[in-house]
Amino acid sequence: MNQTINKELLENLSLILKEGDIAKTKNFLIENFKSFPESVQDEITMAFMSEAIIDEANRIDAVTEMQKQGLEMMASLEKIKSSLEDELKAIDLTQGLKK
Amino acid sequence: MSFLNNYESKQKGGKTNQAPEGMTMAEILANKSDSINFGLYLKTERTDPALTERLISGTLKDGDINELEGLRSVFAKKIEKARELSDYINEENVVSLAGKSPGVQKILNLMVPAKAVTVFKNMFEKMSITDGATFSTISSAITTLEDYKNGKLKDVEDGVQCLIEKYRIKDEEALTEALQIKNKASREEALAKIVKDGHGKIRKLFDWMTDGNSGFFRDPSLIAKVSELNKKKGQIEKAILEVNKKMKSVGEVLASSVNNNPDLLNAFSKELIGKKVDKDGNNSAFKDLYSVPETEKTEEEIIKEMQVSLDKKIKDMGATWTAKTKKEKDDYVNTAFKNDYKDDSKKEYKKKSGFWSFFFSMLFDSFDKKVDSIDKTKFKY
Repeated sequence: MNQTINKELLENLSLILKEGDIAKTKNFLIENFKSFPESVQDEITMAFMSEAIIDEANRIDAVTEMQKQGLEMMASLEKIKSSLEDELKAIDLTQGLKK
Repeated sequence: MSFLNNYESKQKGGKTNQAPEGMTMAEILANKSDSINFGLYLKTERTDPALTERLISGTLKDGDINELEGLRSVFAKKIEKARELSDYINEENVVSLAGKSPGVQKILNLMVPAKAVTVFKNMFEKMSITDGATFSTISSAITTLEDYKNGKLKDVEDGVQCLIEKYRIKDEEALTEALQIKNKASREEALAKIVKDGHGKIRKLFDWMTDGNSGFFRDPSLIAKVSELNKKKGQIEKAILEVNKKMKSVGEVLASSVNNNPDLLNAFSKELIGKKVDKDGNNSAFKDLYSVPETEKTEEEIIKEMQVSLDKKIKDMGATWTAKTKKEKDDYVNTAFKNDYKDDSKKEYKKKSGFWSFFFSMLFDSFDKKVDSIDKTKFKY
């Protein structure tokens, strides 16, 4: 397994980094994956996997938080609806008695 | 390895006469990956290099045993925690992650899931020793994924499902239509808009309901407030319709949040996490990579920086510097000073590199050559 990095590859990566485009950098790392030494391949694999794990956990946290807020709102709305309906029934009852 | 037998017997013959907790020193040294990580750990803890040498050469002194025992115990706990957490990262879960992450999918196009799992586990153990902050972030994320998979967050999702059934909430027509769009980019755009609008509604309503001034629904004198509707039937009916409308709106957003369509999940992720995303929708680990071009300084920039550093060192040396001969000064600038400058720069860059320290080590070959090639005549001293 090659343990040194090709100079041209390193220079190309440096140029891409200077552009500051993360998506392009990731594509470069993947496209040239096999040209990197094994230790670097491991770091790249770890970076992609860690990122996916963190992103997925963030998504779960955010959706769960939103769902909790939504459920809380629905409970409050149910409560107010029930109060309004009670009030409506009371009016109907009063009006019925008046008749 | 007689020193180890001596060491282990001392460990076991301690006050409690119990086997040490976690891996023993013999076990650590017998495993290639563990012994490398233990070496890294000793380095991270700034242990006296002579202790490491004595450990490797089997010439431990009595005083070393206690120090090593303390280090072994902490090391074993760190590795144990990394192993426990990384158990979650199995082939099945990696394949599942790939379904949600184009990055991991690309990695799995290059290697089988089993290899990706092995790499992750090894790197994660190493990270537990060398990069506590990143290790902690990933650990916390794995715990969330585990909790989710084991149903610890199921209460919330069950609550949403109950509401969907209770009110017979269906997906919004717009959502059903968006999910059927064949073009990926257009589908993602339509879903992002639906999620953004829906989340906007829910957030606005939540802010209003929880606002101390206008929090009508949160007011403890709720019933009194309702009575203030002047008991006019029309007004109350109108209020009920308004509440129904809001419930429908919240319900639809909740229903979409339990839809497992990957594109919809992705749209939620982007909207709710509220992070700055690149066009792949990712961030985190790759961000640090952009401090790397700092090592790509021009020769002029390096000379300027080195001159500042040299002036400081000469000032610090004071009379010692003045007493040096011309040849000694030249030799110092050409060797010791350049080496110090390279080491200091590496330390500085490594602080910034975080996750991508490997990349720095690659760049430093060319950086070192650049520094070495600068002639001493470029400096004033």
